[in-house]
Amino acid sequence: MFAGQLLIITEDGVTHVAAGQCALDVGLDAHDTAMLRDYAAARMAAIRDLATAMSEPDDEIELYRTLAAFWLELRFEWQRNNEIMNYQTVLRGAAEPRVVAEGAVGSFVLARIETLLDPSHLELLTRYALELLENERASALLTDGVS
Amino acid sequence: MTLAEQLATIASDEQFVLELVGLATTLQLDDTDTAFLRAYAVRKQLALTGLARALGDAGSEDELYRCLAGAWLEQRFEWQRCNMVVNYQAVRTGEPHALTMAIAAACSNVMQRVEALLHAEDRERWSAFAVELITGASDDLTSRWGDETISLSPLS
Repeated sequence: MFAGQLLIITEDGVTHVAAGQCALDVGLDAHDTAMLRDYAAARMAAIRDLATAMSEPDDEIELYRTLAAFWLELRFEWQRNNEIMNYQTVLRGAAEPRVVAEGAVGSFVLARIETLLDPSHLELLTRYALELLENERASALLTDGVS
Repeated sequence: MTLAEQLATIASDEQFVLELVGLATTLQLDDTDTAFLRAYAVRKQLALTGLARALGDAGSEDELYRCLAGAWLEQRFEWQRCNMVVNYQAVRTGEPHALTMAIAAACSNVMQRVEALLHAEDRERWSAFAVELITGASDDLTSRWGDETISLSPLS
């Protein structure tokens, strides 16, 4: 069962361990380590909520689609962290460790979800997401005012 | 005011975290769930301030707009997911989880704050995409997301 596979991800403790290791690798202080653990726990709780709410055999297609949308949500989050890290590196010479760590754990969760989705669907989603945003411009907004 | 400055103003609003955590009282969350909601609110605020600071130079306004659009879509998908879970919980058990409802409401609050900085027509297009993804409503997505395609999943 698809929901069962998702529950394994939330129950095997691997993401929790990865978050702890990541905090050590990046050198987070106690406060930021606690925040990173909260973040990892929140992601696992979200997956568990999905799997338990949509656990019937009849729910499989909708669960699959919702998981694909969740993957995209995480992809946009990863992209945001990545943009921030890139700009911080260029402007300050180094990225903020908290952002680096959250980006790494987010990427880890993304990779775990990817194992449950068809690669052709992931390719399609990535293409849609890129096309959706590639031509957006702020200039009209700044000239005309907020709509 | 530049886009980054407008975003920084929104993110630094003293009511940002307070409003989101206030949902704990409305939905009668216990202490553990309230702490979870507070951590969520702080993460969201840091995400927006991080964007505004990192992409704050005038030369990257378009880049910031695209990043902001991505951040809004991230919220939109999260809100949609939470609503989906709440609806299933309500139908199956008659009792949707209060914490999931609180996160959905918090998510909606963050979306409303950010969307003031985005074109309305852009938001409508992105929202349509988010809905089509879940429902398989568009022709293109249906052809790729129909039952036959799902059966190609490694888990099927």
